[in-house]
Amino acid sequence: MRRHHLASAVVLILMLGASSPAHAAKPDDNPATQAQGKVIFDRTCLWCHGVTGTGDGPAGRFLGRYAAPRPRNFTTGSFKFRSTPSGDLPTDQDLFRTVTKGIPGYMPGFASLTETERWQVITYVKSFSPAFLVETPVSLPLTGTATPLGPESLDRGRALYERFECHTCHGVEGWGDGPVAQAGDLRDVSGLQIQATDLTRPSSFKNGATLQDLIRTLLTGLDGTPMPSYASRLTGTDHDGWDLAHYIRSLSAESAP
Amino acid sequence: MLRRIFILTVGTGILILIALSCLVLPNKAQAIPAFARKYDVNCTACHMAPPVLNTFGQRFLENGYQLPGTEDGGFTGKKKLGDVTLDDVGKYLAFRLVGNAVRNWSFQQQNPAGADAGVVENKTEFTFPENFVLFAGGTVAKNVGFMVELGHDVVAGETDVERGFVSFNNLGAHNLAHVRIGKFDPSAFYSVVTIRQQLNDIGESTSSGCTPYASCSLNRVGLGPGAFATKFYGLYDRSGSAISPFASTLYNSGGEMGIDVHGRPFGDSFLYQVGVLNGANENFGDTNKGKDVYAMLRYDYAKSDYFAVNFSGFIYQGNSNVQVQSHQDVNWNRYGISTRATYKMVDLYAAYSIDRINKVPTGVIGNFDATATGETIGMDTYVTNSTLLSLRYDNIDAGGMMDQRTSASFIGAKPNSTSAPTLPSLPAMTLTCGKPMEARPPRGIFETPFPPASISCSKEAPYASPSPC
Amino acid sequence: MLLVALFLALIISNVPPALAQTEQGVVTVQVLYHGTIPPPTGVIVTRNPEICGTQVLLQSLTVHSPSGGLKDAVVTIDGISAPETAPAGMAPNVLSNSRCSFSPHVMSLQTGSPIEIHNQDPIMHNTHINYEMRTFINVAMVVNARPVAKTVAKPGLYRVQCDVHKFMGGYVLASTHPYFGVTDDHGNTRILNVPAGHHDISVWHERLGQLQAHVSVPPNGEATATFEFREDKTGHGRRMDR
Repeated sequence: MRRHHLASAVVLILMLGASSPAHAAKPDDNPATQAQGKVIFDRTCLWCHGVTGTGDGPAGRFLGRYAAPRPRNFTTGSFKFRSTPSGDLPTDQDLFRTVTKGIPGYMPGFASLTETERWQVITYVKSFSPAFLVETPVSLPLTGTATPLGPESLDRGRALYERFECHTCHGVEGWGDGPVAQAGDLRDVSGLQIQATDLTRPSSFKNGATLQDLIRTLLTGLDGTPMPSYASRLTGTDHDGWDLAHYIRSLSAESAP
Repeated sequence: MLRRIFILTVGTGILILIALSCLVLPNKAQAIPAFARKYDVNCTACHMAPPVLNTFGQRFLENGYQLPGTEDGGFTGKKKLGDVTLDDVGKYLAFRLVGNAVRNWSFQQQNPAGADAGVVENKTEFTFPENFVLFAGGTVAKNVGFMVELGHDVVAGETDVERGFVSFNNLGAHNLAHVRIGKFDPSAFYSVVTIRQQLNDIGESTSSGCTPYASCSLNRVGLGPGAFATKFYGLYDRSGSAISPFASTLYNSGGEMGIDVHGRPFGDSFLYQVGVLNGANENFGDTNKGKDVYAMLRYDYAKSDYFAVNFSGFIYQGNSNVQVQSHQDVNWNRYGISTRATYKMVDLYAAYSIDRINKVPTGVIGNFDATATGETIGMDTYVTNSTLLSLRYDNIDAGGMMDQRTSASFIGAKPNSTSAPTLPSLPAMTLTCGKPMEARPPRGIFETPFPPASISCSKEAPYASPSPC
Repeated sequence: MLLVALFLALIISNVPPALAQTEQGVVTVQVLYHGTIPPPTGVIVTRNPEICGTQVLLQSLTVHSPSGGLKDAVVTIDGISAPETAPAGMAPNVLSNSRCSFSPHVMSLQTGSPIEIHNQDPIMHNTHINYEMRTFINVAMVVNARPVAKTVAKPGLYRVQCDVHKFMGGYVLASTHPYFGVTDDHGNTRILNVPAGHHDISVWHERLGQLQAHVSVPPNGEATATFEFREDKTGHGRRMDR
C-alpha cells in the first residue's frame, strides 16, 4: 500500500512537470538557437505578440479588444500557465506545453512546428525577459494520491469548493457568475476586465482540463489574474487536490478530456 | 422613350430611402467559424471583424488555411482513421445568413415618382434572410487547402457557387508559391479586399423590362465600393444585358474562374500575385474570347508595436471582356493602388482605381468616355468592446456613354453592435448619404432608422432635401 | 554649481566603510502634511459585510491632529549599502489580513527577508502582490490558513491587493539595506544604527509622492529631518544636525 502511494506520487510529479511529452533533443539555450527561434517567431508569433514581445502585435488588440486577455507580454516575466509557485517563471516544459497545445479561445496550438522549432522559439521568447537569466524555475511537486471518482470524493470536493470560496468568482454552479465576477470587479494586472472561467465548460479551460491540469492550476494560480495559488493549502494533503478536481469536473456535462 | 439609353431622370429630384432596418433582429448572422472550430480559437484570432481579416488572419489565408509559418494542413484538427486522415465535417462547415429581418422603407422622394416598382412609400416589411451561404473550407492534406462558398438567394430562388477553389501551397519552398485553381476572389491578398465591406450593401434600382443592348432607367444608384465598381455606363455582357455601373468587377469582382499564384520569395515584406482568369464578369457573361491577366505587388510593414501598414498596386488586362452598345467587343483594363493601416483597434483603408477601355469602338466613338476612376476610403474601429463603427466614403467619376453617365459620391456610417465577438452582429443603424458631382445629375440613398435629425451630414447632401441627412 | 561641488565633496569626504560600521548614529524623522484632508471615500461592501462592515471608509491620508504628522510614509536613506555583517536572522515581516484590511497598510523591508502573509479573518482573502507588471505572489488565504512566506529579492515598490475585496490595498517598499522606517500615528520614525556621515534621505507616501533631504549623522549622535508635504503636492525637507 505504502509502495503504491509512493509510486503514484512519483508518477504524479512526472505528469505535473511534463504533461506534454517532448522527446526531441532540446537544443541548448545559445545565440544560434535564439536566432533560429527568431525566424520562427517573426513569421508565426509576431502578429499577436509583437516585434518586441510585449503582446502588442498588429493583430494583438483585436483579440480581446478592451478586455482581457491580450496576448502575453513576454518582457514582464509574468506567465499564467506554469507548474511553478505563484510569482515564479514557468519552466521550459511549461512554455512547451502552451506552445504545443495553445490556449482555447485565444491561441491555436502550434504542434505543426517541429519539436525542435518549438524549443527554438521558446529560447527566443525567454530572451525577452532578463528574469530568465537569473531565476531557475522549479516545478511544484504534487503530494497526494489520485482518489477514485466516487460519491465520497465528490462530497469532499464540494466541501473544499465552498471552503476555498471558489464560488466567490466561479459561482455556486460553476458558471463563472460568482458575486465578485458579476460585480465586474475582476481585473488582470493591466487593469483590463477579466472573466472568471465557466467551470461547466472544460473545453475552454485555458490551462487544460485533465485532473492533473486542474490540480496544477489550483497549485500555481494564474499569475497576472485574480486566480490565486492554493499551494500552501493543498501541499501535504493526501487527496484534497484530487477531490476538488473531481468536483470541478463533475460540474460539467462535457466528457472527460 | 424610344431612344435606347439609360434614362436618368433627375428633374424630379433626389431619391431618399430611409430604411428602418434591423433594430431588433440581426440583419447579418456572420459566418459560423469553421476555422475557429478547427483551431479552438475565437473569431477574433483572425478577424478584425468578420469578414475583415487581421494581420494574423491574412497570413493564415496566404498560407492556404494553415497557421502562419507552418504547414499543418495534414493533421491539425483531424482524425486518423486507418490510412486516411480526415477532418471532422463539423469542423469545416459553416453557414451565414445575410439579409434584413425588418426593414422600413421610406421613400421621401421617388425618382421619378413611384418609379421603383413594387416598393411603395413608407412601408414596413418583415423579410426573410435574403441570402443563405454555406461554406466549407479547410485543408485536404499538407499544403492543400480548399474553400467552397455556396450562396442561395432566397428571394430569387437561385443557388450559385460564389467561390470554390483548391489551393496548393508552399510549392518549391516555404512561401515561395501558392497556387489557387477554381473560382476565387482575385483581390483576396490586395490591401483592400473586395468582400471586406461592413456597410449594408444596397444595390441600385433599375426599371423593369429592360431589353438587350438597351439602357434602363436607373432609379437610384447602388452603394458599392467606388474603387471596385464598373464605373462605365453603357457596357453589356455577351447576352446584351447591361452591366451595372456599381457592381464590383474585374480584379475586384469577388469571385472569378481561373488560376493564380502568390508568395513572398523576396523576404517577408513583399508579396507578389499573378493570375489568369477566363475573364472578369463571368457572372455577367464575359465573351471569353481571350483570357484576362493580372499582377499585383504588395509591400507590408508589420514590425512595429500595435501597428501594421501595407501598400499594393495591381494591373488587370481584360481581353474582349465586355461589349458596348454597338455589339462590339472591347478590352477593359484596370489599374489600382490601395493601402491599409491598422493601429491598435483602428483599421483604415483606401483604394483608388483607374479603368480604361483601351480602344473605343467606332460604333460609339464620340459619345464614349474611355476613362473612369473611383475611390474608396474607409475606417472600421472598435469604439467600445462591442461596438464597431464603420465609416466609408466612395466616389465614382463615371465613364462610358456620356449621355447616360452619372457620377456619384457616398458617405456611409454604421455602428455595429455585438454582444460578444463571436455572436451575430446587431446593427443599430445604417446611414448613407449621397452627393451629386458637379454639373451632373444628383442621386442619393439614405438609409437610417433614427430620426434623421440625430445625424447631420448635410454637407454631404447640399441640395434641398426634406431630410437633414 | 557650488552646491553640487559641496555635495560631491561631502560624498567624497564621506566616512570610509570601516569607520562607518563602528561609528553609528540615529536619524529621527518627522513627516508632516499641511493642507486640507479630503473626505474619505466610502465604499459599499458587497462581499462579506458581516466581517468587513457594510461600508468601508478609504482614507489615503492619515494625519495626526494637531501636529500634522503623516502616518504610513516610508523614510529611506538613499545611496547606502547594507552593512557587511547582516543582522542576525532576517525576521519575517508579517503582513496580516485583519478585518478586511492589510496590516500594516504600508510596510518597509530589506531585500532578502521574507514577507509572511497571515489571515486572521474568518473569511477567505487572496493576498495578491504585484511588482510592476509581474505577480510577486497571489495566494488564497482560506480560513485558518497557515501563514505563507516568500522572500523578497528585488528592491522597489510592491502593491498589495485582494481581488475578492477590492477596497483592500497596501504597499511594501523593499530596500537593499536596513536603513528605513515607516512613520507612526504622529508622523515620526527613527532609523537606528545609521553609519555616521552625510546621507541623502527620502520619504515616500502613496498619495503625496516623494521628497528628499540631506542629513549629517554624527557619530553616536542623532540627526533630525523634517519633511513637509503640502496640499499641492509640493513640499520640502529640512535637516537639523546635532
